[in-house]
Amino acid sequence: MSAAIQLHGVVLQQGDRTLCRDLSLTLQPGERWLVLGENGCGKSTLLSVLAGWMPPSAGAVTLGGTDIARLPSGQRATQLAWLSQQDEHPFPMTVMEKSLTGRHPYIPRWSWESDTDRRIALDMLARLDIAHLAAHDLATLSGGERRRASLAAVMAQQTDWLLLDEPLSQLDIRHQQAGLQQLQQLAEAGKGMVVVSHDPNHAWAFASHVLMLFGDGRWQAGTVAAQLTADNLSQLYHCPVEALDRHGMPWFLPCR
Amino acid sequence: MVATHLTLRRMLVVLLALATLWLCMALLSVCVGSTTYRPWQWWQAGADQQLAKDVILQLRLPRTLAALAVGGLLALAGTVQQVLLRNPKADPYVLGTAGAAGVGALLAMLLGAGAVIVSVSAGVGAFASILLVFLFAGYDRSAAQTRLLLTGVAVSSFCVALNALLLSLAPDGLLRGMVFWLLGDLSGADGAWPLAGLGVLLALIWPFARDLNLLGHGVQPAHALGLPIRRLRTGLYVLVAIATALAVTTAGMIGFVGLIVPHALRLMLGTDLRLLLPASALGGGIVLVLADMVGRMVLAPQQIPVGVITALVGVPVFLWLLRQRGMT
Repeated sequence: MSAAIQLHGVVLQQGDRTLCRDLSLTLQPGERWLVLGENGCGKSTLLSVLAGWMPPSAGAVTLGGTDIARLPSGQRATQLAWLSQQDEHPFPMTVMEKSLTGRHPYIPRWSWESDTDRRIALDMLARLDIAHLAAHDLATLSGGERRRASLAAVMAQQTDWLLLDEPLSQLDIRHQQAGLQQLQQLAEAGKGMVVVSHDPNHAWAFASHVLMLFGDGRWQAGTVAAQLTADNLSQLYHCPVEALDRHGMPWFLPCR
Repeated sequence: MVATHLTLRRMLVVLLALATLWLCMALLSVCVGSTTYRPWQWWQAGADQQLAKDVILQLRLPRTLAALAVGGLLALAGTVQQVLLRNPKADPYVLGTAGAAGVGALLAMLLGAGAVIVSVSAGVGAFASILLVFLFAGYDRSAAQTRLLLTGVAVSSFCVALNALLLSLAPDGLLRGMVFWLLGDLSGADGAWPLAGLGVLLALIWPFARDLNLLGHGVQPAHALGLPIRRLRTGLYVLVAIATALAVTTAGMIGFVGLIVPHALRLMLGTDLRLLLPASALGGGIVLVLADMVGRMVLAPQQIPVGVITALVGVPVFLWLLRQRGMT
């Protein structure tokens, strides 16, 4: 059913800079990967490569053994959802319409959205606490509310894999916690995830694995328990990071 | 309750209303003119009857059909181009499609070609400009599509200059016809085939309306939802080129319909293209028939080119609509 994502010697380049060299990794179904790294280290580029949007500079990405670029696009869309950082709305669109877009891969060309599609779309809005904004134009919302609408659309796609590029950025404390809770629920539902974030502590909510991109070609990957240490994070961010004890779990903060 | 999304029922109701208005405008346009006929007069026996039949069938009906077709084609092309470029300011005129068609037509006129050659030449111009914009802009992966839009604007400006050059070279005998053509003129136009063309184009584009909805809100999300973006875009550009060429060869250059009709309809009906595409095809026709009636009657017996009317009336209406939107 659920398929693994495999990276075979993937190289990520931005101009003449090599961000990531020879990245070979298998993401098993149901694993939740947190991708960490400095600005411009290739996190978003990696997600767009995994989504089949950009080809890697070298190497290949497969989903269930098929090259992601050769996978029929409609089939890909039912297995893999991608929340990019792109947030542009040149035309008015209501929050409900946005959420309904996630159902697109399931609606045959000559059909209208079914009651089931509407129910799913509305349910996702309710989960992210924006159902009351369903009739509002996206352009009239705050950045955080728009982000939640986009996340609702991605969740409505009901795929086994979710590629989420900073899904919780721009969210206030309460909604960030609510968002983390949603990711936790998705994890419990057995979804595979690749999540880009700037906060290593987000790992505790949902992640099983961590991928660290150093931005100079080096990378490091493994389970949260093995990889998420103050030493590794200090190296990753070029800034001393210390771990405080919080209910028996390390909580990472920059040293001051 | 406020509408959160388009339902099938709402779409059918709106389209039925628009179609009724469309038919009424067509009927009105056929009846009104230097002599005004009432529809029931057509079947009455009498001396006037033959004249009425001639005026209506030979003069007004082809012209009315042309207005319906050209308005619909331009509005349809504008709607699709706005989505493809994700820019509500795009239309066949802004992007130079119509300007290039104009260059083709004026060149043919200057060389003394007949009506058919002029039309073909205009069509070639429209296709060439689309090709040119595409080649220069390349496959733009950027979010804003700025390169594509700016290339269109550049091509458009270039065509304006070329048209001016052709006009300055033209002998006096040809000048009036050329200027009328540039301004957009429906007199002598026959709309039966273009109207059929509009129907075919709409039938080809409408099945992809839901895909277009996604395309309008960013290519990356659209890709993630499984759209074959490159193929979709190429196909739509070709259809838009055909629509523009067909409109321009029928009635010359008529501006603002492709820009204002989709925009106004979007403000009134929302952005779902499943409704907006057929609504534009109908709405464009309604607006152009209305503009043509005004042009025929205001200074009768003198006729004002319909392109002048659309510009004079369209722009203030557009500004008013924008203001309404701003206040709510």
